[in-house]
Amino acid sequence: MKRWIFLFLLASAVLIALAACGGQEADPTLQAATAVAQATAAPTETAAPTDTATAAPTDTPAPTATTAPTLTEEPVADDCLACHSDQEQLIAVADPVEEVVGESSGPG
Amino acid sequence: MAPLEPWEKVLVDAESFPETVHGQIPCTDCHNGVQDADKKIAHTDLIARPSDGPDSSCAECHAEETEAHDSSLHHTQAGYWTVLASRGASSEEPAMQEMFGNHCASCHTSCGDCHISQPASVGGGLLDGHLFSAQASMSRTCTACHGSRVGEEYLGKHEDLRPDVHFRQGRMTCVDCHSGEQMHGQTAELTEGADPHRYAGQESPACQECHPTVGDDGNLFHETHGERLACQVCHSISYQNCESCHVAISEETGNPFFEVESHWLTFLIGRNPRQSEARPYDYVTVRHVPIDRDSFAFYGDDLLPEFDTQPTWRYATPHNIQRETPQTESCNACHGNPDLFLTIDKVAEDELQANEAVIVDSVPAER
Repeated sequence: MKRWIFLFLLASAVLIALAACGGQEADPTLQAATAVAQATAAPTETAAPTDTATAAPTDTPAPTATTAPTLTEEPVADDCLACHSDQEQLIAVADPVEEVVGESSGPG
Repeated sequence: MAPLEPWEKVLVDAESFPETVHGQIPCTDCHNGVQDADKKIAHTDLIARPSDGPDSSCAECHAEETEAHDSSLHHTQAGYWTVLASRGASSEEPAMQEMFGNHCASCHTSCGDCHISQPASVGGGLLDGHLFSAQASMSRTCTACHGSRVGEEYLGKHEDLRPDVHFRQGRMTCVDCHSGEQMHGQTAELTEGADPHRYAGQESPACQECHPTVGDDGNLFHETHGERLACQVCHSISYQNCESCHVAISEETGNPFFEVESHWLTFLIGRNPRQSEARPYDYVTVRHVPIDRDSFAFYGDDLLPEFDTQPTWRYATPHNIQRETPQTESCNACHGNPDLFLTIDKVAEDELQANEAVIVDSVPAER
């Protein structure tokens, strides 16, 4: 009996130890912390020489400054042109035409 | 000219137009409306024809042309009132105003009617995918309105009648003689007090502008007749004449319409009713115009109370010029030939008084 109790406790200890090691590797908080630490220590492409980086040469580049201009450079959608250059669309949304029978006669 | 399909009238050339100067301007700057994919929302307060408005968006960049255009005949249609007033019609008369609004006002022309679309009076629609054209298209704008007389004669649309030599051989278009300045008109300050008749003042355009040696070129016809004949007397051929046009509103559809009782091709020489230093001719070509004593009877009685003060055979300048015509064949093609002259027998009895100034009493004697 003592032998079975000893084996049970040994197995439990092994499982706890394994569980503790696996939990450390999967912890997202620790992963993020590691990534931030890497970024701060070694600048990546986004932190490499840009207008913003030149204007504010800090060790910790602000990520928003590099992404904002991209949004304003995108072409503004022109709904007028999009519709008025699409023959099928114009045909689809055209108002019904009332046929007007000309009642005049002779040269105008 | 075949009418455009509804979609065709508003189809924009998305490849070319955005590259043009006008294509740099947001659509809503001229057309109002809003940017939206839904047609109903996008067309909120839409201005379909921006150049129609009193504060035309064209003026922002084309101030000079726009100011002149405000007083041009294309814009004011004052030419109609000039001829109507000459027969005693009043623009203050409500019946005449109603007639004018129903039958004449649709010919009003704005900047866009020549430079970007077909005129509204012929159905409208973009000429070339919303691309602006500095020079108006002859067949799709000018003769779309000025068709039954000018266009058909100039382009030779009448059977057995040649096109005008300026078109046939020179491929000239309207603006080669009638400049943009003339089309845009003059400012009101320049025209105030001037005789509004189309043949008042200097001839413009004048044939001599391009043919300055006529009369001094060894041509016996030119030297003999000098300034006694308008150029068209010898150099034009048969042209369109109409009579007895009446306008009304259809009982069936409620739409305005006109009826021309008859029309025919002929060539006739009459006396010049507007002799002046600038137009010294004894003889000019005359065309019967569609006006009738009762043309506007649908709207009221006696709306042209001075009908007989103006000819119904009007001094005309046909647009079918030829170097050689039946008249240039010999002296006696005209001399002693009553068929070519507006003699009294060719005038309707109830129009004799109106045409006193143009009827040829005696045909020039045979040579």
